[in-house]
Amino acid sequence: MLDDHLIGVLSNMGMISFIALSAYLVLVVGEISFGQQAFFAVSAYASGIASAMWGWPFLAAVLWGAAVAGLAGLLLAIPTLRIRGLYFAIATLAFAEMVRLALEIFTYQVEQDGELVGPNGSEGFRDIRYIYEADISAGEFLLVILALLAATLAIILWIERTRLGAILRMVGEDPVLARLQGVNVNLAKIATVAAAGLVAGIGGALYAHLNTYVEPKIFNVMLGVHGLAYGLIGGLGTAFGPLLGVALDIGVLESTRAFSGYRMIVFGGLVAVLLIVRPRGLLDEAAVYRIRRFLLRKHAGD
Amino acid sequence: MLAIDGLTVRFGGLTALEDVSLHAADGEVLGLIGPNGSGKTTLINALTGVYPATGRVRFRGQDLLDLPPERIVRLGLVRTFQNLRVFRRMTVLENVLAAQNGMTGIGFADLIGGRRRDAARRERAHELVERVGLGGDADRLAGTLPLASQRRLELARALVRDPALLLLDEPSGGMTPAETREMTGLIARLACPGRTVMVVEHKMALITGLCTRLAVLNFGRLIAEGAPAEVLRRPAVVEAYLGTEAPVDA
Repeated sequence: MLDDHLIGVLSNMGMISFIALSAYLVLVVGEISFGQQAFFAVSAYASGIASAMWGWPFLAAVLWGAAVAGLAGLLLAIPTLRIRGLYFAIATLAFAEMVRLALEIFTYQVEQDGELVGPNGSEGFRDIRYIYEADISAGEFLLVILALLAATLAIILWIERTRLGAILRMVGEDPVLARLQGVNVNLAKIATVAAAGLVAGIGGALYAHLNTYVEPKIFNVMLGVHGLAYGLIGGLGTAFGPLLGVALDIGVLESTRAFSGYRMIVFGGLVAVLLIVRPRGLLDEAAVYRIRRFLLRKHAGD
Repeated sequence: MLAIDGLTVRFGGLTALEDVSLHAADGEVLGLIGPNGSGKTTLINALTGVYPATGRVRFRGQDLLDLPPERIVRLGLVRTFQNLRVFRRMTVLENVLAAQNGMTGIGFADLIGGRRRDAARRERAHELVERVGLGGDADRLAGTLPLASQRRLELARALVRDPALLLLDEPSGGMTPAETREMTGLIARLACPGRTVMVVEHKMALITGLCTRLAVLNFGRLIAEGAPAEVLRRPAVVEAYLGTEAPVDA
């Protein structure tokens, strides 16, 4: 069986993958977000409140958290619709900081068995006890994470193969040209940012329930920066790209402790080098195109 | 078909188009010529909703000026670009497929329906890619095509919507004489009852070979309109292109 360390690493990879996929979706429509951690946070709290305070079943709480995060995405998408590039990036950063600071003062507690339960400002939100109450082991929870991740990935990969996927890539490459092909660019962007919020939200809900405790400072900007960097490293040509980024960073750099104290320096350098030599990451559109041709030819050869 | 009335485009203090009135009849090939900076591309940008403009533009009985670009395209007014614009990270076929967005009869189910639902549109895209002579390059990334092929791709992409009005902005720009002749032949076969072509060009051979009517712009104003042979002889047009004859001092 897997040892605890490995289970921990894989669980972390799985949960951070949701932020990476979330940032990736925004990148696909041509914008950079430094704020996807906000949706992770919103859902961590919302799902925790649902399961620990309202007594909702776990899956309902996760879906609820994701839905609230998707709504938060909608809330961010509408006012930022007309801003692009650097300005959009700064707006997302500001939004995430607003969410984090709001959680610092957000208090909502109820008494359960003579104890106060619920978010308590910067003290955080303790006692999201589902995993103990249902007696779920870390290994079992890892399976839940992987199942939800696989389902999310499958949906994104499916959409990428459809007309909708083509539309999103058009918007990302040249929004003006996309409009001149009859695409409602505003609708595409709003829907994508909301969907990205939802995806990050699934990860946040899982995080809250695995750790049983969340506090605002976990959801700082470095979480979002990592999520963003994974797509930029792994590649923007396919949803496998951000997962490759996660695997390279957490799977190789962090878990093997290959560079120990220098990990963040190596990671930063890797991002910088890739942005120069492969601006759209390892699995960029051209690479995905070559792989697809190769697979098709092999398939035809059999 | 298309009636432009008093169209004016201003960028701050600069008037790029002033009070242009022009019409295009069903099935004709209307040439739009004029020196560099005379407002030809600006006119196309105003018609397609890319630039804000004042005046009045009616296309098949509908006012265009207040509509966003995607709505104008859906009405059947489609353009190509002087400075080539293709989705470089998509294949040739995908570019043409993608251009069928927002067409009538495409609902949400088609959006997420995958390949089988797309079969008819795929076939149509293939057909057009063949028609413009890119059959062998259908699966290439558009960004890797040579320039002349990218122009053909733009044409296929425009045609896939079966436009009622096709605006071609320098369709032979940057092409060799042989490629220009081929493109001229392609365009010549496009105009038909139900489809008007408006073409911006500099190459006189292409213009005189194709157009049934010419409109000439200079400094943002329409200075001539009529049959090509006659318009090209008008003093104002000759002056716009070649300048005034220098006064000969005795």
